[in-house]
Amino acid sequence: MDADELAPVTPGRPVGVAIVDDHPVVIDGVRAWLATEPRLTVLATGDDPDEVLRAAPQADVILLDLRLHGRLVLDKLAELSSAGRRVVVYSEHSDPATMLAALDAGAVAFLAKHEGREHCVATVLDAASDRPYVAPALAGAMVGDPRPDRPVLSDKEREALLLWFQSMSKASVARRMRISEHTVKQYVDRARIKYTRAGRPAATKAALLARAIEDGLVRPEEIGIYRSRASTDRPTP
Amino acid sequence: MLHGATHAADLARATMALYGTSSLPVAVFAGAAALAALSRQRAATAATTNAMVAEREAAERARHERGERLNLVSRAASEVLTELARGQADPADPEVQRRCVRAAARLRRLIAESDDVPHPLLHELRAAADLAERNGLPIDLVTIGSPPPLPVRIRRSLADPLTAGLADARDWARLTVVSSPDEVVVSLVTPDREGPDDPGHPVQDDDGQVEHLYERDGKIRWTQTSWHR
Repeated sequence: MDADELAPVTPGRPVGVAIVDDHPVVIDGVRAWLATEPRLTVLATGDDPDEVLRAAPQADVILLDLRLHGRLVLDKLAELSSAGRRVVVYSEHSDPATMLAALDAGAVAFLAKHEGREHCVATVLDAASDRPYVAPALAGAMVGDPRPDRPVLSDKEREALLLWFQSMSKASVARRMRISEHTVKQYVDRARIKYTRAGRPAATKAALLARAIEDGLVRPEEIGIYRSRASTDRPTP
Repeated sequence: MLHGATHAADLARATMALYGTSSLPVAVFAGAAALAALSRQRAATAATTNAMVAEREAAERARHERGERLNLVSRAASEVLTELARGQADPADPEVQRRCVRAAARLRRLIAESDDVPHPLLHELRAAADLAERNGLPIDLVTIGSPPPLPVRIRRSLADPLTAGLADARDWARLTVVSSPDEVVVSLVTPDREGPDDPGHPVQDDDGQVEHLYERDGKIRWTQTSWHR
């Protein structure tokens, strides 16, 4: 699969969102958060990803609860991601292993449920443009990644992730590291982009990487170096 | 022939003498070695059994504590939910909102505790968080990775500035622990407010093994302790 298979988001038209969750009250909550943003419109909701997508095949971003009817749907996530669907996972399962597994499966972003109010709108908007959005819980999972084949992060990237996870304030991280907020975000996003090389390839990962190169966030030669390191990586189960 | 006989008899005598003098020490040595090996094995078994018993007791205790906390939290959560459902509580009332936030934070903390026997450092921090929570402070406690065994002194230096800051916190607090085999970083962030610095600051740094950072920027107070192998 390659990045071209992701349907581009038409500028000027609001981003179409589909919400998949088996708790109606959560759907209502998420809908209320998204309703504050005119650039977003909710197209369909439901508790079955296939049915929701049948109702709204043109959805740009899918907000997916990782646990549906008592089961973790990582396989469904991988299927949607490799089919070029931008999936933002949100879950009360915010243990690091689950978050990293969701990234490996191709999720564009991961939100812990309690982070929803602050980060939901920004995450969905960034996901729609294939840009990374790293909420604090995910930053913690990345900085504490114990797997031997984890992506190699620079010291600055690690520090930015750690401080962002601790403080949840980019302004405070910037002051601590004596850099601008913009640079803090760059370090965090670069770390996230390195994770597109972990796990199985997916159309969504390729799209994130391509956009990062286009934006100048990472240079192709850095990816080259990285690829040579990652060539021995095995996909994590 | 005679000479040969004498020789054979000498040899026999010498053998007997050697046997006579050495058999007892050899037997004693062998017996002692066997006993020592046996006792070492017994001691190891006893130590393993003790460790298992201790581990089981700690796990039981942790389970029991969690059970009690769950009861407490569920009661608080179901009370506020019942009141909301009956229309007795107004969702717009800031006090009701605070109660919801506190109940949610406590439930989240319980759900996040997945270890059977908490590491002493986590145990200490959780105890401090419990205390602050009982005084009505909503707390996020997020742990990533499990800390390696740490000497008590280092554990104290890591935890004390945080527990002091926690006792002084208002409104909310975020406590995080990130651990790997070579590094443990603990952080406490609380909203900044008027008043003196937290009592946990400054802390003398014992032989430079634990680094302690404290800062306030008008928005947050940030205490961080870290240990590197």
